[in-house]
Amino acid sequence: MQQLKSIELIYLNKNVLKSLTQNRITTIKDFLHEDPEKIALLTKLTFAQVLEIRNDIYKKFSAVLITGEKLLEKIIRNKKLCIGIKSLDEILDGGIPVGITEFCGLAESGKTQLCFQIAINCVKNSENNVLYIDTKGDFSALRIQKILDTNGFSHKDMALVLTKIKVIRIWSMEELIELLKKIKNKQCCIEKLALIIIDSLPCLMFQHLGDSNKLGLTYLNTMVNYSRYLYNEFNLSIICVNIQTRWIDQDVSDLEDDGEISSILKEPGFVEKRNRCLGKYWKHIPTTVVLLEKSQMSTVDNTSDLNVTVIKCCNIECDRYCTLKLGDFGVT
Amino acid sequence: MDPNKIKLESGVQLLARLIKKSKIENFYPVLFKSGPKFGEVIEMFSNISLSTLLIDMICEALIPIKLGGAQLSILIFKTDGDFNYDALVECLRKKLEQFKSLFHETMSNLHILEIYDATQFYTTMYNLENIFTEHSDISLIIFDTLTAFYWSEQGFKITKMDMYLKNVLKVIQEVMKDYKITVIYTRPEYFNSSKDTNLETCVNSNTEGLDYRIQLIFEEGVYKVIVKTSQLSIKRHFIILDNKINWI
Repeated sequence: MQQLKSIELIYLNKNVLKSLTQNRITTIKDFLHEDPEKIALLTKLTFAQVLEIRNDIYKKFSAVLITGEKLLEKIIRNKKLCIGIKSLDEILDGGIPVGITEFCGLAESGKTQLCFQIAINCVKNSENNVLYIDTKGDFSALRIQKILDTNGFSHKDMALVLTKIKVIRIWSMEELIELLKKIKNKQCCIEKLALIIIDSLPCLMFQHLGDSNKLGLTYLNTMVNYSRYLYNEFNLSIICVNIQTRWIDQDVSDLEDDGEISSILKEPGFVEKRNRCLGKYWKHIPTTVVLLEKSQMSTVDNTSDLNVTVIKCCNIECDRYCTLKLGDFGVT
Repeated sequence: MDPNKIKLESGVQLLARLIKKSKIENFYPVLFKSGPKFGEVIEMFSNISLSTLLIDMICEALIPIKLGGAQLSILIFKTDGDFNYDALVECLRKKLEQFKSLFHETMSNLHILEIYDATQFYTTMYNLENIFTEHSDISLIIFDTLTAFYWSEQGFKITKMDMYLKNVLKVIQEVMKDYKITVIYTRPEYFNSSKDTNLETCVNSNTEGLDYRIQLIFEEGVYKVIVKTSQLSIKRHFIILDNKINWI
């Protein structure tokens, strides 16, 4: 919550701020919540002046009303980012929607590989730029070059693709929030930005595992709020990579633990449970959720099958799947 | 009476008090039967997306009375709720397919506030009085969701989720006490301090009172809606075909 002392408001000089602080009015919310007459008494300002301060706050911080007509102008219908992998585009009803999409899977399930391919497909043959936020330090330009090389790209085209994928390494939630804030405030401008890939979010969030004051969730909430601003105002798609965890549970009757847990009966009395990480708050955030699972690599052609299941598409629960191929050529 | 305590009433407040309508007529009868009263609070929660149901409700509320709707003027606080504008416009277009000329007029009764942080949330809430002055016909306000800034507002001491909801509702009711406006808010199912979803405890308390609690459950391809008030509890089922709600 914004502190009164951190903003410039009409009539709020040092003395006024001091008397407000002495009466525990420190934030904008405290100020607006208090009776203006009482504030006038406490601060020795006139009632009219207090109302002027309130209006100043409204002018600076209140949201702008969007009317129905303006909304119609604002809507860009069916704006989806086609990701250039036909079967996946199909089960996503045309591509990744504007908003937050989650790619989730166990370790080594091909999440990063799919992100690389989507980044390539998004920038090739288009003017789009992609921002790749690498939190694990394993973004591999070599791997991207190899995919492009296998697909017969010339050196010039490879360079063009790679220049359009902007990579930034981030090591903490604070840094991620700072970056998103800079993009919001246009201090960091990336022209024709169509997609942000955060690979991966748990890597930053796990640093706060076990914090008694749930600082991680405070950061996650702030990050989600900045992301909402970015995708709404700049028509962006944001892919967040999440991981799945699995464990074997003995109690078969305890199947309804959590709505998001899928259970596969392995043998009588034992159940394998899987869970999307990042907690309950996060589960409601992505508009689209894609689960990934990789099969064992075939020894014949060194490729693996990537089983993709869409469990939520544009906020509607669903269960659609397709199989992709993962190999030296990337993901197709 | 203490002369200092005399409260001035603005023209709009007076008007709101005088044009007494007791309830919203014909508003989503499948769930509300004869309709919620003005000033009542409706909570919607689910562990899945509420967007399809909410959009259908908004469209029915916007549609003119002569076409079977409630013809309300609506204000939406869009926080991290997941309904999208495309789906809303698409749904309204379908419902007004035979009466295309009414589409723009109907849309003009919709007002949206996009909220991106806690400061903006509270400032806009306190600014509602000014918004209502300009748009005095607004009679339904929807917060989707009311819980979007919970975590960013927590410091070293964490407020319990129930307490947080009550506090936010208290602010809303305080701001809107002079305007007879029905409030709908959504929250994710987990946003609850206790497992006990006993409605009576909320309804009996005057200030934080909830009048309706609506839960959406998805089971074996069918959506189940449970509506609870202090007096009754009804269950309805629907399926979604072509992004459209079909009540069974």
